[in-house]
Amino acid sequence: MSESKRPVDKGESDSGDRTTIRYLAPGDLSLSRSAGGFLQATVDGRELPRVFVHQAFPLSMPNEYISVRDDEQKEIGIIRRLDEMDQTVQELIESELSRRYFAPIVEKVNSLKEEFGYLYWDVMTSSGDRRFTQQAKPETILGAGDQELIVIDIDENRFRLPRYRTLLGRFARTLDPIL
Amino acid sequence: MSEQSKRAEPITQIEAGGDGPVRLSLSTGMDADGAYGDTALHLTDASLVRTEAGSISLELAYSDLTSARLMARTGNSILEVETNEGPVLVARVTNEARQESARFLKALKSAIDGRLHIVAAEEDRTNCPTCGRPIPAGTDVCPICVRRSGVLRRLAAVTRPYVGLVVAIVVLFLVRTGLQLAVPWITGQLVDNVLLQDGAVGRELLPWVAAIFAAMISTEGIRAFRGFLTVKMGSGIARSLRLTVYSKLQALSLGFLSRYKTGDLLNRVNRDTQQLERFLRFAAVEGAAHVVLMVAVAVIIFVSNWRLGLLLLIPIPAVFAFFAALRSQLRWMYRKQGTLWDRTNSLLQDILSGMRVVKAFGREEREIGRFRGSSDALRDVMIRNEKVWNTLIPLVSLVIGAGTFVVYFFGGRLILQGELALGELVQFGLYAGMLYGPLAWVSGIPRAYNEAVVSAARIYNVIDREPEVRESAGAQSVTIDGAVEFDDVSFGYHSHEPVLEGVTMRVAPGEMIGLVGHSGAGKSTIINLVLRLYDPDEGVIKIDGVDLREIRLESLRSQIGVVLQESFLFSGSIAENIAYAKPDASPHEIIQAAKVAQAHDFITAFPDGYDTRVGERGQRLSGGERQRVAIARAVLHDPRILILDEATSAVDSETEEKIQEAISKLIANRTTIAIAHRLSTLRKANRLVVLKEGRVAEVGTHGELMDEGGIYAGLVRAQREMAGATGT
Ligand SMILES: Nc1ncnc2c1ncn2[C@@H]1O[C@H](COP(=O)(O)OP(=O)(O)O)[C@@H](O)[C@H]1O
Ligand SMILES: [Mg+2]
Repeated sequence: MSESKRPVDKGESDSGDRTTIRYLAPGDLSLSRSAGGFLQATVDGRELPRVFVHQAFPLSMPNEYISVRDDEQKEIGIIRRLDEMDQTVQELIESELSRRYFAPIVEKVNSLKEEFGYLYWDVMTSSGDRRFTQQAKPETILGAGDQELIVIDIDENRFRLPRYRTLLGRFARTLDPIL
Repeated sequence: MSEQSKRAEPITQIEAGGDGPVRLSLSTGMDADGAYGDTALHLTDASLVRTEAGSISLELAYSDLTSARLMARTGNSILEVETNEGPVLVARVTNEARQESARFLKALKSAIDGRLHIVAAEEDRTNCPTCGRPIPAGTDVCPICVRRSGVLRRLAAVTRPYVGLVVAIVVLFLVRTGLQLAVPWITGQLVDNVLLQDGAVGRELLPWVAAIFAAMISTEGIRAFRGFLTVKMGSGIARSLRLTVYSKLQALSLGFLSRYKTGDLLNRVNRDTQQLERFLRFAAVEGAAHVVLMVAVAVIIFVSNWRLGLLLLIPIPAVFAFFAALRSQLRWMYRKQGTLWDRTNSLLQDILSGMRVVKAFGREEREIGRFRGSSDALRDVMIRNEKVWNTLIPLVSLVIGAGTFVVYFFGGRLILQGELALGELVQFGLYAGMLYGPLAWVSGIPRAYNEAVVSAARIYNVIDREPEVRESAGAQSVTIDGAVEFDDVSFGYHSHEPVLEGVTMRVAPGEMIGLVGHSGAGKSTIINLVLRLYDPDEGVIKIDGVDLREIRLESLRSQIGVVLQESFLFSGSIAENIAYAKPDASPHEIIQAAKVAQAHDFITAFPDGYDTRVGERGQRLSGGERQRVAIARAVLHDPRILILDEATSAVDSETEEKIQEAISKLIANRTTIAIAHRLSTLRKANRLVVLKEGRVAEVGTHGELMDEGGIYAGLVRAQREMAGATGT
């Protein structure tokens, strides 16, 4: 689809060694948002009309080891720690990552009920109020950090529960059998 | 319909834009900043429009767009379009709007291509049309709204063949209830007529005690016999349900099967039928017995002494509530234990099946540590549960015995006032015990009933389903010559993910076609369609000019042979596996087929030769050996159309040479569609079809495609470089 727009720089990109990791220092990368709402970058003086960012460890280290890729999904480099980058780069990458990995933070649990092997949630999240249904199986819960859970609903939507014990309160008991 | 609630308000005219009526709308569920809200996309005759809370925030004319795509991300998808000024993010879509957005995307693409075309909406199976709640995976049944009476009626129909048994069980249980009720009465008589009679002698006790003894013996005897009959009925019913579900699952298309996880389907076959059986046995029969006994006891007590009766009845709701609470506590306790059990088990299974890796990396200590951690957690929970259980048991007995205390206290006073005979008191005491005991049982019935109804509904949901790949009434048996034709075929396993788009190709009888393309390009999918494991969403597939849907499935598949990358061998002997498609094959034919497949030599080298057991618990064959058995299976099948899907990818090059030889004998004279990762494997192909992202990108002979210098030439060059680099 985007084939016709592919920058013709085959020779150059193949010259790099595929097995070494290139870490991007703050000065190596500048980012901006295109008119269409996507990320564009300048790396080593090279203009990249569209770049993608991926977390290597989205659960365990969401703000470290962030892979920056070009239009062809070829890795340009890795950001070791996001907080070492410039303010604008940090902000742009964070907002890009939140699109790539959409998991609203649950702020309050209004109710949680178990019926016939399914859990019915009614919650307030950082993105607004929400009801969802989760299969009552251990596979539908991911641990992220010591205190955080990620709950996956039957449509594969995700919800983060930071400090889940406190957050769940009296509903902790309902979730407990599958933890 | 529930779709109405999921899609945007049916706006017919966008106020500000004023460029004609809206043809299709999509509610995205969220805005670009990730807040849930009222964002919608609309297609008019000339443009793509985005509205937020009702007002237009983006408008793009189709004429400025070159393409559109939906990129699946974690927890949401991103819809973007390519404009002359670069890509534009149009909207983010929550996962539950995925299916609708695929349909929207299809329409948008058609509009960009010049003619807006809207396909009909698929039936929405994700939300219950009655209560709007999401429907759990693996079924179409909403556990909340399932029509209980209808399900029960059908279940009753299943018990019809067991009518004799049911009658016997009911009679036995009436007799037993009578006997149970008799014991306290006899005891009362014993007290009043013997013990309290002046001048009674020990001999007079005998008939009464004997009567009590006889009643008790027969009660237990009847219980045992009735138990036996109930099991017979329950397991008979479960068996017939299980068979029905199983054969239905076989008949349903892979489209249905692949939509649900194997585990969910196994549940359908095993757990749900088991749940029903348990319900029929325990709740329906035993439970009914207990209810009748309770009612009878209550009536007797009431008739004999209404004041005592009243006293005994008052606590019943409380006792019932107590048992119900107890049950939910126990259920909770044992579910936690069950989760830990499963975890410990799967950890153990993991370690055992990965033992070679564990040992090779010297990680035994760590694995033992992990296992210990999980076992310890399990032990702790088990100990805690045992403690709770052992504390509860005496409490339960106490509650059950409570009635007896009531009777002795108030009844005792009545005796002292001379209003009650001692024998009657003893009799009441015994009846009181029979009143509260069954409550422990009865309190479990509502839940068991609910679960059974849902299980039954889920089972019927499978049984009632029409297979998607269906034989049309006029389907005919044909003798296949071997021409295969794809005519503008589009297909996706899920409607939101098209896998093949507009595939057109023609294969002449006897021709060998090589399918080439990156992994995920849709090669295996083409083969699934030829086998008619799925039907295309659009377009037609023809064999010898006849639409696949007009050919009887049995006739079609019996003339197609398949060898896949990972060949599956069933538990059984090698001979049985080779003769799978032709169970009456003679030993001569089996050996002949094995010879063609270059398998005869290694098979005869096994101590058990062709009788060697393979499969789940049998001898382990190497990948190359397994492939050759599978090829022998295809040879014996002698198909008109042969399909090889990465048949030699998993074997070393030397074995591949042998298999190649086997295959070259096999392809003579029949239409062959071969997929191979190693392109050198396809050198015998008459023509090659190159797929890219579900579309046919190139067609031609090896020479033509190399001259063209396109995708295929690139792949060949890359593989040669690889081969050069590794020195093979
Ligand atoms: N049973 C299935 N259910 C859902 N998606 C599938 C299924 N089988 C294949 N796919 C998807 O369809 C696409 C094409 O797969 P396939 O035809 O197997 O590719 P190939 O054989 O060319 O490697 C892939 O994106 C794959 O993930
Ligand atoms: Mg494949």
